[in-house]
Amino acid sequence: MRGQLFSFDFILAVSLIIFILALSLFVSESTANSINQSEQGRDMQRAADGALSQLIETPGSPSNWEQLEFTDGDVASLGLSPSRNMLDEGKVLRLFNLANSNFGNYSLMKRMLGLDLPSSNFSISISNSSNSAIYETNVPESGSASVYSFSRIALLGDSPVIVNLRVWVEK
Amino acid sequence: MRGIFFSIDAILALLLALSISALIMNTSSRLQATTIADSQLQKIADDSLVSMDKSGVLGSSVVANSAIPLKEFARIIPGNVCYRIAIYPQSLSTPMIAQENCACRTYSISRRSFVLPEPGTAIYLAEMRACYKGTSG
Repeated sequence: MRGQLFSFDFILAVSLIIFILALSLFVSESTANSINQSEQGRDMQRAADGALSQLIETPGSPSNWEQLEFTDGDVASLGLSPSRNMLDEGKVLRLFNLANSNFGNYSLMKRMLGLDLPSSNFSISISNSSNSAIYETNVPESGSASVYSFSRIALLGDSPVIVNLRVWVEK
Repeated sequence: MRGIFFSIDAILALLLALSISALIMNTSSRLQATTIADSQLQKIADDSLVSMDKSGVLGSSVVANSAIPLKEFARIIPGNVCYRIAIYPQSLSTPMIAQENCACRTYSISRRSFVLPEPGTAIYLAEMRACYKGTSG
């Protein structure tokens, strides 16, 4: 009888320990995943925020980059505004032409904007106060788990516009 | 029986640990989202005032003594943002011109002073308060 009681106790305790261990493993795994995703999200948000500030608040380097060959050696950084929040139409046109022309330019642009995170892509649009896009990159958001969208207000000519940057991770 | 007591202890400890970790994760993700949202709101307010100043909207409002130029400009502000734009003569006493779409209980605030050369140089202060519509009071 004692042996039987011991066995029942033993089986129950072992089952509980296994259950607790499995639960702990599951929780630690999902916590690690969640932290990883959150870190990745935060990195993307920081990068997108920085890229948008770079475009809206700087002219780029050199400041006449839109007139140069778009290569790693000739252009150091991209910017659209000779003066803060005042977009230059020539720079805007060049940026969208480059982004929409070929994948090589798009990749180089991604690196110059600090958006070259693993498996990530970006799109930029400029819309007027009627929410119609004046300029936009033609990069489709295919099967992305989370999209981070940032907007800034600027002037294009005398008109206020919204510059929107979207960053996402490809699945 | 002893084994069962031990197991209940373990289960209680596990439940407590789980609750604490869930609470920490929930709080930290909410805190992170709030910080980013606040930073975005602040940038929208800063950008609006800079753009209104540089496009002459603030000056036009003062000259015309009207909120219409502010209202026109404010069409670009995202629809989910509640705002109040006010222009003060030198000090933050009573606004001479104000434009708002809804009131905010807690808000991000941005201020910018600007000079109007005619008629006679005068300094004005523009202020924008902004919050997200769900948080307006």
